Amino acid sequence: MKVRVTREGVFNTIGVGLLVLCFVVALARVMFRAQRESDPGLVTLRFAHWQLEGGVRDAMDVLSREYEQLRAAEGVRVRVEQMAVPERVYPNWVITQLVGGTEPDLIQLGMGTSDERIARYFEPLTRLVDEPNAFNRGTPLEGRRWRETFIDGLESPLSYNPALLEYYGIPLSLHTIRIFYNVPLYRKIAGETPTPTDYNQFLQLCRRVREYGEANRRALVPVAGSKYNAPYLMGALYGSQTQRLMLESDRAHQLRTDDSIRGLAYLDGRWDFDHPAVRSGLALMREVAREMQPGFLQVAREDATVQFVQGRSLMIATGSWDASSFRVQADFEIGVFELPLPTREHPVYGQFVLGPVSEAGTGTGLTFGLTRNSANREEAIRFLQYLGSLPASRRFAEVSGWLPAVVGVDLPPQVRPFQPLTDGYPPGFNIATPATLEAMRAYDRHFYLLLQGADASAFVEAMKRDYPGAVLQDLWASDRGRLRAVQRNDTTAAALSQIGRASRDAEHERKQAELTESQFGLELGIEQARWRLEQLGHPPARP
Amino acid sequence: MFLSRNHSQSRRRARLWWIVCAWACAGSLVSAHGSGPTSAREAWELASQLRVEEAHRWFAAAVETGQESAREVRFGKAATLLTLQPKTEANLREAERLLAEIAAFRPADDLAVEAALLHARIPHYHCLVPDRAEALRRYEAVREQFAGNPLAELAAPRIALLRIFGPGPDEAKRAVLEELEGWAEGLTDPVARREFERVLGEGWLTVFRDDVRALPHFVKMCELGVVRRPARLDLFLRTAEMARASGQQEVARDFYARFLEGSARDNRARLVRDRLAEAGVSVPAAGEGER
Repeated sequence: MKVRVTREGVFNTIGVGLLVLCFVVALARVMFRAQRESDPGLVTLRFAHWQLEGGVRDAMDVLSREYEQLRAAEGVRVRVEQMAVPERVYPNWVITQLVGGTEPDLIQLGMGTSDERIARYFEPLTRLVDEPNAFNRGTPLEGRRWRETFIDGLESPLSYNPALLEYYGIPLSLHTIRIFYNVPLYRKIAGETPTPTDYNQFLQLCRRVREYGEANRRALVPVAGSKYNAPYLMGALYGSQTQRLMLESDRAHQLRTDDSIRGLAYLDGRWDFDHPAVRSGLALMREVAREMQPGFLQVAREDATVQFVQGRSLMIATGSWDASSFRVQADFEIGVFELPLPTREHPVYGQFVLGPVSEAGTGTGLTFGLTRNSANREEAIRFLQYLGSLPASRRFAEVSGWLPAVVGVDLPPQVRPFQPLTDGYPPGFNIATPATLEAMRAYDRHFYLLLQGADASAFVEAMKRDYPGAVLQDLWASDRGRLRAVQRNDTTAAALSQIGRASRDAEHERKQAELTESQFGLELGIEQARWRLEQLGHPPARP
Repeated sequence: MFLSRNHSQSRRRARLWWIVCAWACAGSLVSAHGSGPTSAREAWELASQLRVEEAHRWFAAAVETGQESAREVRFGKAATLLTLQPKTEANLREAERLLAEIAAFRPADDLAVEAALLHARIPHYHCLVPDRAEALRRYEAVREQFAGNPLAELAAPRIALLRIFGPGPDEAKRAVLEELEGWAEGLTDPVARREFERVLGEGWLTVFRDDVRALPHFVKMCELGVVRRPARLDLFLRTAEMARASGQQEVARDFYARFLEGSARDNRARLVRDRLAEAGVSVPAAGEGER
């Protein structure tokens, strides 16, 4: 019998074969895992995060292996498994795992972890962080309360949850924004000239890059821009121009601003798009946009990265989180310098500047929480303590190239440029932030106009039309958020009060005191904002 | 043949569907049963952790069966009804009824005061359309009916909020603020007093932009103490700035110094050092913070 071999048949056979192969491999992995987990002498810990940047997974692997060895020396067999989940699917993945009861022992907090989910699926760490960390024994941090060994004192919202009044997360890192540059290319263009320390030097460097490109017939762009990267540089430049305006708008004497203060100040007429500082900020943004490739607003983060690592641009602005990836992808030495903002002495832009922007309040991240359903709770806590200790932080910084969240770590040379600048001034305000959705939408919608024409007029006109309505909507959204928190707190306060009636301890008293304080703060915020809006002719528009 | 095969397939599918549903229901029942509270204490613990639905289920069942202290479980049911989703008018009315009952208990105890306060919160913050006048009336009733109970003093800052930031001409607001200032000394509970001072201070600042009148209230708040470190630093700084604007340099220096003591990670520290330097006070140079 003759079998006729067709092209389609071959492809189908290959397809089925691959399917069978995948199934067998998956089955073997599941069986192997089940067998390993059924080993009574082996504790398996799993932790999940979304940091796929180069270096971080390596660092987490190194820490995991070192922890296994540490425990093995104590006679405990532990295996630590890392689960790196892509950022895009992470929130859904976390929710599915939590609801399905298949969650790992430690989960990175920040995506898919609402207050309600944290309350239901995560273990509070408050008592733990009030005690010294045993893994800090023999270090300068020995004997200090664990939470005091972190740069932010665990005050960042991912570590301390103000709605639940408990600590839930242990951070491993923090990040700052810098300009990364191609060192060999820089030397070719600028020789031994030091990297720019202010805006004028930066513009001079950009000019030399263009001249070098033209002279060598290379399509070379000074700064690799994208809709992801450009705002880091442009936002910082704009913010330098509103530093003094921020102080002028500050009627509450806080020496800083937030979204509500900025929005109310706009409606109050304390700033507008014709204010010289705002115009100056817009002019700066236009100037720096010219140093990026045409059409950068349509370009994705990955494309800007490729442009930079392929040597088609000298610089790129991004966070320290990208440093390790760049070092893996680029075949040249990478240097780092601070964002080149105008100084007070700048003849045009200096008049609006207070001074260098302080990064003292930079919050921590890569924060892990302990799941309630952890089958190996004690071991998971011990591993978490290890991760949040001085020796492990030192190792983490060495391998990952990321800043550590623990104090007292001698930073490796490649991490030092990212160290937060603490001696500076508060930043000015931007036109919109991710939290002000409507203002951001208006800004994004009209941003292209800023880059067109002889000046920022077209953008300004468009914003004058759409911004007031957007600000109002954002203020009411913020009001709704505060109101929801007040309503929720009423039940929590009643519960704490009843628990306190049955038995009181210091921890309970702390919670009650903090909740009362925060509740009155929220109520005051609601009443003040509504009163101001009423005064400005925008009476409450409760949905 | 074709029809019958389709028919049997759909029957099989239906059977499978029923099995899946039964399994899901059993699972949810088991899980609800397994994680549900078994006492008022546990239900309160859940309520304090935003797990209101489970807490409410227990309180509502306990009200039906008359378990534990009747007033406490009724209070639990009412408190959880306020945040139970979906939020309905019927739930709010039921909560209102329960709270009014508990508040009417005599001789009045702390639970009665708490119920009365929560009763006043309903028209203030929980109703879809707030009724500020009714909220004010209820808070005032709490203050009068439970005079002498420190818990009832928490109504005072709420009365101040409603009166200062309510509708009315500015001059009437000035009279309100001056009248309310007379209440402060009568408050014995430090938390109520602190929050009362806060509302008055913010009132002078927001409505009249009057730093001089606001300052003593902020100073008093600092004396009474604030729990959270970031809030405490904000308070010191605002007090200092207000004192500076009012020309009270000594007070400003004192509070700037207090701010600097805890501000290693605050991006306003340099600005404060500049302020002190302008005033001729020598301040240590900035450290690098702890790294």
